[in-house]
Amino acid sequence: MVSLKSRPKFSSSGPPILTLESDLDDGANFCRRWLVIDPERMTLYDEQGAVIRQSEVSRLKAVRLEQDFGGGHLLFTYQSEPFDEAFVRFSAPLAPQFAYGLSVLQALIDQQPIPEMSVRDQPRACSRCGRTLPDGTDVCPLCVDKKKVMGRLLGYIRPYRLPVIFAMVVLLIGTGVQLIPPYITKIIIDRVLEPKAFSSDLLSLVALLFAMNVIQLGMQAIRGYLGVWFGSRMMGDIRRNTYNALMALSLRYFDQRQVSQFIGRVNSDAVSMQQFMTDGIVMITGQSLLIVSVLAVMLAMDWQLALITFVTMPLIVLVSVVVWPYVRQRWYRQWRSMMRLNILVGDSLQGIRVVKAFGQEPTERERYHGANQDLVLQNVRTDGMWQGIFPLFSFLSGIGGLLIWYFGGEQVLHNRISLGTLVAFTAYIAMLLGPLQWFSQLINWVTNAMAAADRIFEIIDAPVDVDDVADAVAMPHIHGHIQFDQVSFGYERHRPAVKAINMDIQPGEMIGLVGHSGAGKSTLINLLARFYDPDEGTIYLDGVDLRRVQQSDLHRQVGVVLQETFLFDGTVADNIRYANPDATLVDVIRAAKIANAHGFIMGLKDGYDTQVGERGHRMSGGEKQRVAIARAVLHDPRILILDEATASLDTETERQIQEALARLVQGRTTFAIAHRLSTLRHADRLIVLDHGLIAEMGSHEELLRNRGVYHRLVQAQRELSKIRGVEG
Amino acid sequence: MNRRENDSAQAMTPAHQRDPWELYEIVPEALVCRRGPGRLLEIVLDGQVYPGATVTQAFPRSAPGRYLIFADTTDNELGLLHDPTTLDPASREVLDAELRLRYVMPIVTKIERVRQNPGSWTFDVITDRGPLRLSVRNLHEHLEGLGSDRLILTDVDERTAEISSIQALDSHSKRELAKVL
Repeated sequence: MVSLKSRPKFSSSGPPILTLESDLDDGANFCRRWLVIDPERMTLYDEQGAVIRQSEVSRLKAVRLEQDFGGGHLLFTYQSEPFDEAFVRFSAPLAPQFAYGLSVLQALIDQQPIPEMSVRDQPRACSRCGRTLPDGTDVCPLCVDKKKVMGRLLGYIRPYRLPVIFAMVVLLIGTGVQLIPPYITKIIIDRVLEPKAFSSDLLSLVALLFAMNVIQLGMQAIRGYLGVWFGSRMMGDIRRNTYNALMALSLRYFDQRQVSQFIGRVNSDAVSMQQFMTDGIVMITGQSLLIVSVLAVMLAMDWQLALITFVTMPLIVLVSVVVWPYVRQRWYRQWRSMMRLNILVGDSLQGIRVVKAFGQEPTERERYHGANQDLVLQNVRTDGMWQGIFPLFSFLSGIGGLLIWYFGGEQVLHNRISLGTLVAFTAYIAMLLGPLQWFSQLINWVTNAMAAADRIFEIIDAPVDVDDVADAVAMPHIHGHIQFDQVSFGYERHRPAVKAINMDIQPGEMIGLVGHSGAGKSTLINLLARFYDPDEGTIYLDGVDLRRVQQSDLHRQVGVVLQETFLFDGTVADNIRYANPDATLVDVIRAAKIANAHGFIMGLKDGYDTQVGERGHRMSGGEKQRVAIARAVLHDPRILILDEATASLDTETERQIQEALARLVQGRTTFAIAHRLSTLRHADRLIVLDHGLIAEMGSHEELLRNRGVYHRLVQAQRELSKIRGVEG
Repeated sequence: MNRRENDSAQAMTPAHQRDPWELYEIVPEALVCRRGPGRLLEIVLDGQVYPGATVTQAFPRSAPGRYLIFADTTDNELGLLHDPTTLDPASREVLDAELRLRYVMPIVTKIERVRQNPGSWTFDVITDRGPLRLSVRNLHEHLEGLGSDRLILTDVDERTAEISSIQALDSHSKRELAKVL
């Protein structure tokens, strides 16, 4: 960690190239250590600035970063010493910084220029707490400014200003109206009942009371409706923004996270926000308003009696502050049990084939039973507690009422206040205690909504790391000339997946990418489609840096056929037209014919109108694959990517698809990945990758003659097919 | 061929000539662990010296410290040591220290304070490796229970710490932990 915290003075000769803070000693105990890299030597210092060990750069042969579990160490190999040395240890969060340190050391050994610290290497620290920010976000998860979140949340109100103002006015009137009935009661008692005045006043006063109730009812209905109206709309806006942000994010963001979590997260966070937006805002404002106005009325009526009421108030607030954390914990446990049960059901239903095949229904039933019992228990505890707390609050409120009855009653007996005032007072007290009980719950509610909001804003705020540059070049017609110039890339910075790749591919050429799994084939393709940007080096498309090409132009002219074909909910025709919704139906059929898909589609009852996807017709792997090829044909890309397009298919289907692909490949720059090497025989050139490096490049015949890596791969597959032949 | 004969037959074959699909169980008597000059683990197995050898636990959570897989610097598997308790004491000490280096998993000995901040929790703990502060966003994603008595805490920076026995903690620690359990 390049820390700003105080660090000891180091006795180095000149200014160091790099200083890294480590947090582990040689026994992997926590402590502060400093690795100082000078042009000539590396020195490890302890916290007091004393030298622990030192090594000359000139003695080094190689440096490696060795990953341990939860940590790692830099391993030095020396020219003359027969043993390797673990020079410095660090915990896992510091690995990226030490990976950069490694590249600096490597450059020193190779006498190359020191590499610049890229944005990804820099430990981006939160400006408030100094904690390292997680990859891919600028939002410190721990110190989101609550006020700012609230401000942003309220910012969504702006488009609905008028209805909100209207709702507030309604609220104000509603609160005012709520205050009137106790006062009318007071009048009834003092002016009609006490003096036993048999005039017609009683009826009109009761009628007034009735009218107030009706108005209150109307106000409540309008207020509730308005809350739902603008709350739902605001949530709609937030959901739309979130989804747009999700669509704009790069693949890297999704690679680092479980995609399924987003579905739940966006939905459940949206629900807790919606509750707050629809009921919360109105309720908080309404209740606060009510408290203030009731207090004002009570003080105005009889300030002494009012003060007596206030005596019990702190007690209620205190109890609610003490009790709520427990309730919240219980709720949280209940929620966790619920989540566990949901995961369990999802799991066993998704894997129902496996469950049945292994006859594990009883085990699954048992597991479900256990989780279900737990949820029942949590429900009983939580709701049971709830049943106890409510009466407790009523009891406490009751005490306040009793005090009023006693002291107020005494005053009535001494004719200091009227009976009506006393009755009105008790009614106001009841009104006051309601919101007070709820107040700490409201705080909790706000906190939850803020947390949810802040998680959603985290998605909206995540930086798009393959964004279009400001002066992106429009390329409506790509020729398909591709150059890789010293391209390196790793999904994790310190573990490159491809290293210093150089290649020059002519328009219309078909390239076969060959290599073991993990050799970097798919990575090259991900870079080419610009799902990621290279860490080092440049990819040129028709001579233009890929980073400067408009992404919409690029993706319109790149077509992909993957091993796992994804068909969206819709008809076969919709799926073929996915990238070109304007294509005519005749075009669709033409594309399907080229893809060898027309025959089987016509065999379906609903032909091209057959529903596929989640709820539709089940297609076989080969059928799906041919629909995907038809999709690519209709897309008419200049650059075609076939990623294991024919893997996991039987020989006859593969032949049909090979035929289709041969037609599709015509005149397009094509990259094909295939495990079965025979499928790449027609490639113009084969590029053999090994551990992220290009091992060989050339035609099938040339590579066989070279008797290198490719030759060995071909031999190995021959052996394998012999075994298959015997087995088959 | 029975098990014992199989083992001894393998023991005589050097590691690189063995069938890679077979699991080779290391006989404790045939293994010596020591610390090499560069502070790396060095093992002697069946008379052969492997400097910079690595050791990995097959079941780090359910059977920590047992079922250890040894490999040489080129990741060639040398064999499985089922139970290191029967190793000679010096080797065992080195092996324990090496596991501590390989697995940076601090064991919590005392919980100083658990604090809830708006939107996060902070755990200030003392571990067998020194004091540690863990900050987590929520409890359900970062606090993982293993059985009823063990807990693994992972914070937002992926720092981890293990509470190997809740019951064994002192009363202050238990009280602090009760805030989140």
